[in-house]
Amino acid sequence: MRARGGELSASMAVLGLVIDQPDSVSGVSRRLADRFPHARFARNSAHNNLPSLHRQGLVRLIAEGEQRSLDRYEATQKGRDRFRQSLRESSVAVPAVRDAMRARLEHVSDEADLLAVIAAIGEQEQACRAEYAAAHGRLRAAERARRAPGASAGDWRDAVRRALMVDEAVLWGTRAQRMQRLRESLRAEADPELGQDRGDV
Amino acid sequence: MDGLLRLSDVSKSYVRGDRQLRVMTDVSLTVGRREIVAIVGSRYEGKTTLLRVAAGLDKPERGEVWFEDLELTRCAEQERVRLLGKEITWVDRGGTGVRLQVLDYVGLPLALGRGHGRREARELAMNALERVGVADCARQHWSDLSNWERVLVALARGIAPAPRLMVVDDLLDGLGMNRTRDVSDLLSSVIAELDCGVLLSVSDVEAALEADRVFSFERAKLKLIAGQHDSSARVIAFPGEPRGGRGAGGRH
Repeated sequence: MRARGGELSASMAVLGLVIDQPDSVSGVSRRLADRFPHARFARNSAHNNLPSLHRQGLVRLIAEGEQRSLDRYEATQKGRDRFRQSLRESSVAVPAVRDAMRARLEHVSDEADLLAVIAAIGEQEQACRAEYAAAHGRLRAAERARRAPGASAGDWRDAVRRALMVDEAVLWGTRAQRMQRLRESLRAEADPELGQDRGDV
Repeated sequence: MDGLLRLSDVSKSYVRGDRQLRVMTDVSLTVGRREIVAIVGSRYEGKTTLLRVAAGLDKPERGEVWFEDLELTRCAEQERVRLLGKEITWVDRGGTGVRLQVLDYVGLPLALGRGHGRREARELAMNALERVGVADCARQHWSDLSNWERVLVALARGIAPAPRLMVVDDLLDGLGMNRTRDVSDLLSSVIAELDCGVLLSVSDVEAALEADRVFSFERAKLKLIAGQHDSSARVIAFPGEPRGGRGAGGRH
């Protein structure tokens, strides 16, 4: 169940969701997609991991459904302890960087390749911008609620939630900036004329 | 006219030797009351130039800049000077080369030809320093302040004349999450109190998160990257109520 350095494993994410609340396989699957939309866990992650967690004694079956997807699980104490231990363990490993765009750039061999990769970077930049815009919108809505007359001061959980929302917006915003910088510098390389007239003031 | 500030098809470039550097091409932008609009991007992309044009400090080659019903691009120098420092304030972390006490640094623009006597200017300056939580810095000098105090003092200088538009250049960068939240809360409550708008430039995407709309430059064109395009379509969350919660308060 140990994730690669810096990454959240599907089994750990599934266990965390079952600790939050007992749920069916399909319910966990839905929540997995909702809570970690950008992790791209396989659609059958809950389906595969819950029986495995069950075998390890980390969750128990509390109600058998007509189909496996309707089986309901809850966390055991051992599961809670394991999750807590994992949550608190030190994380010194640098996250793996498996950026497809970097790999593509490594293998660019002619100008046609380069132009295609520049276009792909532009598309990725737009996708990151869209995520930034969405995260920014969610944060603005949350901030308006926080500042509403009569709103409660909030506790540390609210502070953590806010930090996560800010982090998400910053993550997508900086990714989009990174893609823009990369695209512009590559385009300047590919066509010096284009590189000359940027607003460098 | 919609908006407090309106830039319409504004273009500007600089000539360097035989090269023409395009900074802005056909830039259009509005800032409404109680609205924060951010321009985010790396250094040397033209953000400050845009802000200077918006504040009436520089003239564009083409296009119009309107502040309410006054066209800044056409109005007399005297009128622009009158607006700047009173209706429009420029806020940055630059400080002053002159060794002034913070109280005078904040109060000076109020006293310089803008209808306030020295005593009144100092009173307004003190109020502004209190409002942002750094009244105890009033007798210190700029060079003695921490970076965080400089941010707050600069903000006090910006709000002291009760402007209708604040133009904030690179003030909020690199503050970290908690300080950014504090200054964002402060900015948000202050603009509700003053019923003013804010145009700000930042390098750091985190610092732009308080903005209602976020733009960035690409090849001298301005692109909306978050928020709604039309400021007049924006719904203020709680009409009649101050948006702000807690101020920035303490100094560190």
